[in-house]
Amino acid sequence: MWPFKSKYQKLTREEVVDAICQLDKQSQELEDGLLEKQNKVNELMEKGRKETDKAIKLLYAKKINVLKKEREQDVQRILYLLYNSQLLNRLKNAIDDNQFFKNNTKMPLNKLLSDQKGLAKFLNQALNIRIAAEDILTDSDELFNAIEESYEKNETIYGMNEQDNALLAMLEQEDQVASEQELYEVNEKQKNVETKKE
Amino acid sequence: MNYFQKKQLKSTQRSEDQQLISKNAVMIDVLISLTSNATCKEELKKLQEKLQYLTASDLSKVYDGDKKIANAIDDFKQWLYKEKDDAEKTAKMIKELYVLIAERNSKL
Repeated sequence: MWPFKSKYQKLTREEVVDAICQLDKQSQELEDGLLEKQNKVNELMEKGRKETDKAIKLLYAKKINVLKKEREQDVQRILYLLYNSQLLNRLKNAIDDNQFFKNNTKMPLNKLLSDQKGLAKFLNQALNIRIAAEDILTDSDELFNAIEESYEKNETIYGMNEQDNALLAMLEQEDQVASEQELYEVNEKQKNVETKKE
Repeated sequence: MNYFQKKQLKSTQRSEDQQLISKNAVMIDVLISLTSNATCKEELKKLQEKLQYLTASDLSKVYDGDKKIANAIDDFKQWLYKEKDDAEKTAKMIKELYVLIAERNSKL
């Protein structure tokens, strides 16, 4: 590391701020002067309008012109100072940024992040733990499915034998006869109602 | 680095911190002279007393805290050069300085 500091490294924030303050002060003084000159110009214009003597009018006119030129020069200086102040503010912000990032990289947690190998190892470990935990669950799920699929339904308990089949057929026939009887009765009633109307 | 070198480094760091604290306290005089508001002047005097009696430390975090206070005082000074009569903004900036002092003390 180069032992000698550059001008920018030696530069302190305080110096920059002092410089900005001086520029702002000068700019403020010039602005106040501008206003004063403008007021004088207005005064002289009023006097010039009221004055009848040509020589005095000429005098006022020359004074006004001189003041106007001075005003123009002041405006240029103020603009220059403003621009200069803007640049110094940018320099001040750069110094602040430099300090900000230096302070942040000093933080112990940020120093940990700079160890890329260690971070990669840690993240891989975390990922492996996660995958192992998920595998345990999926393996258990597959085991459940495999065991449940290997089960065969007991036909003796849950299935139909010959006697159950015959009984079911009989019950279905009874249901059919009952429903046909109902339908017949409904039709008869309807016919009776129609004949009564006629 | 042996024990004596470490001890010397710590005492250097502590004296640098003490210098910075004194400088910050002196800078408040500049702020007092720049402001025209009487209430703000009173507040700044109270702040100056608080700053003067801060405990110096050899910890880098505390030194960084003092630097932040110095930066805030510089910004305050820059602002006062431009606008001297905004009491609300001045009060806000004084409050900010108190917060920075409290944060700095929390790192001791």
